[in-house]
Amino acid sequence: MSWKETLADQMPADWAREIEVFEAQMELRREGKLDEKIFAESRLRRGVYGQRYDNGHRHDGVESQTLNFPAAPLTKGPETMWDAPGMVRIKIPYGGVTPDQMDVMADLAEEYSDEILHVTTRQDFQLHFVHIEDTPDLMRRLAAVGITTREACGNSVRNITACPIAGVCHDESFDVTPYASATMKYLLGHPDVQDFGRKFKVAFSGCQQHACGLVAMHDMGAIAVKKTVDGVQKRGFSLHVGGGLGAVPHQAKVMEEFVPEEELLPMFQAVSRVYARLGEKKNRGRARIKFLIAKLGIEEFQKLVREERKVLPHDDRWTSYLKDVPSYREDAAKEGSSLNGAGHPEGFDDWSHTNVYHQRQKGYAVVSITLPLGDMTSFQARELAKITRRYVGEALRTTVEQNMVMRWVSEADLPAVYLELKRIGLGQAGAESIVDLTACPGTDTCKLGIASSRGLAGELRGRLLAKRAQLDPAVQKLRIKVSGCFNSCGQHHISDIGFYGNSRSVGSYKVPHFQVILGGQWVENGGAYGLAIGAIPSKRVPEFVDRITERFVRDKLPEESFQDFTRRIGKLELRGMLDDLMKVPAYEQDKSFYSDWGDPREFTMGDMGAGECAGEIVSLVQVELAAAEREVFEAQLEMEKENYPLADERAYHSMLQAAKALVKVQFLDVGEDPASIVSEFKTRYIETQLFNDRFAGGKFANYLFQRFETTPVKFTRDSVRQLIEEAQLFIEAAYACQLRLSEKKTA
Amino acid sequence: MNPNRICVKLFAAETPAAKILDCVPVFHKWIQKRNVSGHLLIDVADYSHVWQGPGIMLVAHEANFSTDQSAGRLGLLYQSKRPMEGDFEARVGFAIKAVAAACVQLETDLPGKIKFLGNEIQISLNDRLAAPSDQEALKSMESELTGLLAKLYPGESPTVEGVADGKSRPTITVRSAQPIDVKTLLERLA
Ligand code: SF4
Repeated sequence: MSWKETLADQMPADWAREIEVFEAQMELRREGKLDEKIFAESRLRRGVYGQRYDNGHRHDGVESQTLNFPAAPLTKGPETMWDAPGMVRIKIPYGGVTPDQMDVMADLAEEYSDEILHVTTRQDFQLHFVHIEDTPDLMRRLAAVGITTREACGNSVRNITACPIAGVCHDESFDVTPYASATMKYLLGHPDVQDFGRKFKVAFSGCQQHACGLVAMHDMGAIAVKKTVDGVQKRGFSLHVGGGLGAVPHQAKVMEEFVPEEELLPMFQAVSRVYARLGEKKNRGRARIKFLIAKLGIEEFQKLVREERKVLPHDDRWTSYLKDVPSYREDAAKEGSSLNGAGHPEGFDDWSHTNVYHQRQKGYAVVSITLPLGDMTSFQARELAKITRRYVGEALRTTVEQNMVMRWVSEADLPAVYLELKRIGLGQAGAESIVDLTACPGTDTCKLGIASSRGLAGELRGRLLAKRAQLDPAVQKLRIKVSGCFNSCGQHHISDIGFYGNSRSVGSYKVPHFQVILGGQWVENGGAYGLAIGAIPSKRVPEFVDRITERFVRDKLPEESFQDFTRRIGKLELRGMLDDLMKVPAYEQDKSFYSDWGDPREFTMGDMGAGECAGEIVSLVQVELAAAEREVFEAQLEMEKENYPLADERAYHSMLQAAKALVKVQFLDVGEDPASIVSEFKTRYIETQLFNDRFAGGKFANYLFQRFETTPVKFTRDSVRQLIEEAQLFIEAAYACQLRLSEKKTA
Repeated sequence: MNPNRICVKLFAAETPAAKILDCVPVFHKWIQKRNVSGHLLIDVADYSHVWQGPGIMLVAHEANFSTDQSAGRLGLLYQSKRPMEGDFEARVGFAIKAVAAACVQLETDLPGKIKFLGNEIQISLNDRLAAPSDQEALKSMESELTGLLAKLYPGESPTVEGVADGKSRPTITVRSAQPIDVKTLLERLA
């Protein structure tokens, strides 16, 4: 038995089919029948990412070695070897994960990865060093517990994040969880979000003043707002667009002050359409929505979105979920009761001070589980699942600070939960403090990494933990975040003390450096970005952290925040604090500066590769034509298995798919109905002769029309083979048509 | 039963002087010199910050080698990741050989700082499709490995202790009373 057979009836049919489609695409790629760029975009859209060294080269500190992967020269994308280990990103909408899902992810980490589950800054899980051949089964095992990796990477709507304390928070307008969940379901695979030039990140927040949702740094975000309309209090959202970190950080702009809840999904859809239509497609460095909004201005963008909203075809799903919203709640496993002077085990008070949040609901608390650098072992994940079941039932969430929270813990159980977490090495105090650093993968696994963000974060964490008890309370509250390059996945712009990796040349050597960013704002949804002060050698960063924190303690005014402090003393003065640290001793004097934290190899930039963060820029029509090609390939497989009716259906559908791909270039809302696809195709491509080939004219289109008009009553091998051949010719003609049109456009 | 993925761990003798971080430069050197035969070495991953985790991991195409600290006991763990050749006994034999050779190499590269035991082997099945975590898996492991264990510990009757809790990987730990070093263990597999 295979996983496919074992789990066949344990997942939605469309999810099972999507995984089969991906498997078929893998097969096509192996056979050289699918272009590597198109396969790369398809795999990214399934959450299957490349990893450092997957171009088949790695600098070993002395020379660049060729990694002779067995399947070479087969690739899974441009300069990406087929069987090089890669990363799989597992999308966890709003961070909500159940114990059963944790168990499965623990199994997957053990069997396919490196026994580590990594929580990202966008509430996803990531597994590293995964072989592509294992990914379909990995996806099936996730799908069987309700998780999809679809659109976890690539130019698509990524995971939708939300406050991890939504629903239990004292300050929220209302619980955003059901809205985040509905948005995820609505936008997942939606045709209007398939033609973006870059990734698109969405976040929800329950209030304006706190940080949890980080709406200000997202492409699109919604903050819960209540408003009285005609004497009735209504739920709605303020909508924010165009935020983003990256090399050029932008604060999101308010697009609508109040959108009633029933308008949330159509407005998101309208924004998506405008972005897909007008967003940059060729220059990926300027393709995020923030650049489009900067170009058009928020007023013009708002006008376009409102116009688009008016012409959107109605969809019942916009509001169908709302009937369940009032009754949405997480069930606590136990009665909430207070701690009431019960004994406190050793370490409990310290832990409880930093890692416990008392819920709005009396007698309950949220417990933060600090994960060093976002990592936990499969053993810890499985044990955490057990503890969750025992004390709270299901209520577990990931956070954007790479931790997890357990919600609905009865306060009376806090000492027991603490001891249980401590038993499995997850009882570390100091959540959301200076010892709880955030770091992106950096040079450990990311192809774009310049310096070792995890190496640095690990080093700082070790040093700060060792002296945590002696740190001034004002310093304890600070946050440090580290990115391996300017792309900001470690969110360095919104931390008190942030760093991103770069490099400087000293003589003929390269030296790993980190740019220092000070005074970013975490509160108010990541409301302000920090100041870049200067770059210092990686090995001097710990000294700088000591220096700036000591200065803060010494010179801060009463009640002054770190942001205010850095602004008051000014960039010049801050820069002065770096001057002596910027110096790099000569190689002969101190070689340690010439290698990075946790990596004894002499530092090099030679291992950087082309990033896949954005996916390849492949147009929607190309993706859909490739899908048509894959379907006709599947038709052949069904014919070989003598499943003639299914083979016929697949071949016919592949032609419809190719026709639809072309129609969508002109008319996005063509839908799935064969009659309207055929009719639109006739009007737009046959009557205009756009489909006509110089030699064959419109002949190949007749294959589609014939099959559309006459459904066969009898299926034979010959009849099916003929239809498959016709479908192949039709798809070829569609490709040729697309090529002619794009050449015309460029000319 | 013939699971595709197998884990084998050999334990370090009590309180080694080496710190797991000492393995970072050693593993990098192994990659430089390509000196783990039959394996395409790719990278070194540092998980030393994780409690009782894989510590330092040498990632190869075929398998991961890690300074595993699970259950609080340091050892070198071999975690196969690609389909293996032969029957179950051959696969386990291959994994033991690979990890024992790596242990011998580590003893050489960290002289006097670490020693591995040859008389205790932990074997886990890492393929829940072929081998769910149950008593049956444990029984099969024990019966199918009789010949291999006789070869590893001739003239002895090593104890075999099994754990299968329905979730974690079915695991047996084989112990022989007679202490031997890993070099001897490796020679017996030759
Ligand atoms: S910030 Fe740079 S190094 Fe870090 S994950 Fe993003 S792209 Fe990679």
